[in-house]
Amino acid sequence: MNVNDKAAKRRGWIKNIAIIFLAIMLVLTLFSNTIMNFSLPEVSAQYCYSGSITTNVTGSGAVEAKESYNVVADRTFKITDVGVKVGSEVKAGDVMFLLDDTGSQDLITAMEELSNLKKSKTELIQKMSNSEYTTAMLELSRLQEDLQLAKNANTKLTAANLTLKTIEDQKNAANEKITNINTKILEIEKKYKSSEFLSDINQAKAEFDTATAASETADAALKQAEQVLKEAEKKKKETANAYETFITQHGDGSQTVDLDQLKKDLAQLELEYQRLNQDYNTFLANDSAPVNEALAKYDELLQRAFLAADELKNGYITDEEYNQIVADMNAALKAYNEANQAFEAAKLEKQRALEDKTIAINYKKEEISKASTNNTDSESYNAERTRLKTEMDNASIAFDNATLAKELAELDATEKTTALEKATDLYEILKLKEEKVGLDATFADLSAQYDKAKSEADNIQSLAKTDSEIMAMERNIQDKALAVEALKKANSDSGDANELELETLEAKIKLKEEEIEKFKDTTALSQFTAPVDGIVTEINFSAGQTANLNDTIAKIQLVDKGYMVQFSLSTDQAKRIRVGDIAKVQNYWGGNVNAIVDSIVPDKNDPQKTKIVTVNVTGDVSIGTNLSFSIGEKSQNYDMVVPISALREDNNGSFVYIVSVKPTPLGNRYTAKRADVQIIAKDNTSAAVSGLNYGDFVIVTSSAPINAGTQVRMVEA
Amino acid sequence: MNKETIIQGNPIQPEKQKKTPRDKFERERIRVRRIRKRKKIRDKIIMGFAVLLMGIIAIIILTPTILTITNSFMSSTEIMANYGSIIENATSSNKTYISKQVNLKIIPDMISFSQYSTVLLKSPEYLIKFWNSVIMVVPITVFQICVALGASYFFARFDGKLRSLAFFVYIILMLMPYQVTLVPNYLVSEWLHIINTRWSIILPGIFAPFSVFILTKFMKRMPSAMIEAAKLDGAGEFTIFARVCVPQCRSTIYSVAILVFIDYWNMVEQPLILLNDADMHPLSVFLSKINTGDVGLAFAVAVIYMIPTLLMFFYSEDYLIEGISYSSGIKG
Repeated sequence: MNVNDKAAKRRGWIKNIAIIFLAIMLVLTLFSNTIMNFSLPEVSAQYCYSGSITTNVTGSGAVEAKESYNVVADRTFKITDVGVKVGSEVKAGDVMFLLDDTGSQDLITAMEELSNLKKSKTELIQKMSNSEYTTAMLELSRLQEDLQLAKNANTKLTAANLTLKTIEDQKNAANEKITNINTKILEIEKKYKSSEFLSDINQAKAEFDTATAASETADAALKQAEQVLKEAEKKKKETANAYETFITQHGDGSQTVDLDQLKKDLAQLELEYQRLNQDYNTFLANDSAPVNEALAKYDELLQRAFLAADELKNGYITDEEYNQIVADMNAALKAYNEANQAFEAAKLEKQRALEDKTIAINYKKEEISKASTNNTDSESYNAERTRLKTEMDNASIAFDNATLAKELAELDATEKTTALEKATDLYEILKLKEEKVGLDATFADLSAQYDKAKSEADNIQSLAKTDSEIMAMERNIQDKALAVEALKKANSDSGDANELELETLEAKIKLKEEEIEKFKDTTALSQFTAPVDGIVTEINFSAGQTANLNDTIAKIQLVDKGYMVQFSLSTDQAKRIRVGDIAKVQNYWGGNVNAIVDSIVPDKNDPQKTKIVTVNVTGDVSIGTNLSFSIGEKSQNYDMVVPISALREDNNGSFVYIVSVKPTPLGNRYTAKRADVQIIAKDNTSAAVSGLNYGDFVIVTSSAPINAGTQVRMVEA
Repeated sequence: MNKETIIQGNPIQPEKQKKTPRDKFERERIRVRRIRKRKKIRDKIIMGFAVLLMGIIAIIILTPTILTITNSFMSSTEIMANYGSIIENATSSNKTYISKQVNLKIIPDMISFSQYSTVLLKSPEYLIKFWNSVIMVVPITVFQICVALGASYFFARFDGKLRSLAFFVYIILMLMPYQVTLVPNYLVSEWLHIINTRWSIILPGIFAPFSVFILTKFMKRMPSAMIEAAKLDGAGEFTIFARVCVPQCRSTIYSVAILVFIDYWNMVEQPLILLNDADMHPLSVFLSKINTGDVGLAFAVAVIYMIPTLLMFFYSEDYLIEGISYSSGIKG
């Protein structure tokens, strides 16, 4: 193999290698684009759009009653059984707890303490009784008691007098009613005889009902009769009008019309018309010739005048000759006008004559036509006339009958009305008598009450004092008190101490007595009942435990005071809502629920950052239900709105990624580019921003974390 | 001779001997043999030095290529670790690399095809740039030779002042560096509205003077008797050009093609200035920006970059040598 062959073979190999290399590079170019795109994060993007942002605030909480009631133990007792549980609804009086039935220890203790206190007071008084001061003190207390009694008596007397006045007013009213009833009864009795009155009220009522029904029936019949009369009257009028019209049009048969004479007259008129027409035509043919001649002469002279004007201009004729021609032309015109005028006048006269004749002919024809139809010998005329007359007569008879029927119906209605009035009176009088009996009994009762109250007032009167006497007693007490004070000062310190101790003991005794009274009311009970209606939300004691006096044993939420929900919001969120805003309930299908913001107050735990929002809730809710609210849907339109998922934040502020497109030989390349924005407003789904352009394609979501400059691929639609 | 004679400096009087013709020949032969032997040793020594020197030079020349090929099988991390300090110094980026010294590694720690997979499979940008290079260089090469053949035939065959002047202009243009003609080139491209298009590179490349000069030189050396003989046979100018001159110039055409291909395959200034869109840049531009680009991929890209040039050279090696030797006048 020579060198050339070797070189050729080598070149062949290299050529193949080069072709393979280029083919591989081409295939890899295609595949690398696919592989690269596959590895890129996938993003979804959308254009900025103009829309509205609904700046609402959300919050949720459990429904509570607006008011709650703390059930406090009014004594010390041991609980043997708990009859309710948390969440159960109770009514006032329902048993909540069963108690140990061995009597209240508190009552026993209190009674012991009271006896001790009284004993101490007695000993003290005995100790103090020998002193002058004590005597004066006792005197003073006696005077005070008397004053108090007098004041009480006065108060009772006032109340008794007031009661007397009330009873007296009631008596007078009853008496007045009785008088009115008696008057009415007398009036009714005057109208009728005594034998007509009934004794049984039921029977009277039955008759009243019967009379009422009969009266109503008669009234209805009367109305119907009036209606029938009205229709009959209308019919009568119509038939009479028809008959009159017929007679007017066609005559009543008393006039005979000579039809032949009319026809002769018509023929005569037609002849005259023909003669006039002929005369007119002759006139047109003959008398128009002179006019036409005058016109032709005028035209000729007019043409001549035009020519003369040209000739005059050119100087062929003189002015005098031209004037002469014009004068001749004017004369011809005048002659033509006169002839034409006379011709037109004569023509008009002849036309009028023809028109008059035509009118006369038409009138005559009409007469003939009418006469032919109105001929009294015609059967159709007679039949029609008879029919109309019959109808008119029948309508008249019907009208008379309807009038009679109406009068009968009126009479009947009047009778029934009279009977009804009588039945009403008889029934009324029995009712009045019954009422009178009741009023008599009431009056008697009131009289007895009045007497009793009067006697009580008289009794109290003896104890009551006048105002001046009360004042005198008070002055006396004041004097006595001053004397007691003087004596007190004169006494030793032990006297002051005794006095103070006595006052203290008296106060304690009074309190203890009140306490015992309270215990007495409840000691006998072996169960503790709910004081109010509501839902039990807390039970602090269980069976076997002892609740002391004033311990809170349970908590009841008062359902009739309304419901509320409380939740906390940040201060920024709270600024967006106002008291009175409607709160929309979210995702609740338990019924119709309405909610309004009631109050927005700082949270006690964090007053700077948190606010507690209270929402009043009405509708189909129950305590403990969790509700979610959306408040403050004030929407506003913005030019640049992006989805909330497109917004990102870092130390430099808020920003979004927008897609920047770059065309390459292998197609468009998409790169995420950072765009800083300022958030103007936002809600749960969208945000209004500034800093973007209208055509920016904002990246909303991505399948992998992306940064500025990252190459991305768009999600396939 | 005795010692006294030597000390006294008396000249030594050799004994005169009788020389035979046979001895002279022997001596001459021995002498020549000695000379040859010395010459051989000297030649070997010189050859040895030459080989050593050439070897060293060859190694120095081949080392970057070998380094490129072997480093193309390193992972990006290993490359950053070995050569990161260069990037840190060359760029204004704030990145700090672990290695503070450049470490030339021939053998990778772990052979990895990540660079090739990234370049060939995951990042089509480099392949696009490769095709950009192919799209620009191939038409330039082909059409430049076509244009140059016609021009050189004219310059070689026809005389006249106009021809001389035009050829002189061609030579001047060929001698000028690209930077001198850059501004007029840009202005003309803008006037033709081909800025930022591939035509702004292809058109000037097609009408480059270098190929014209080389082919003219060769065509001038063609024997005129051949052309006259063709004329006598009735061939026209185009037939002479196409059937006589062009086949004769085949080797020169191949050598010119290789040189043009290599020249334009490595062009950097023209794309940077005339193409604003980076997507149209050839691969040579990416490699020129190696400091700011993906250094971890540079070696793989360089290997791919050099493959067409190598293939071109190996395909046309014989023609290239033939063309260069013919141009220089060496016979054989």
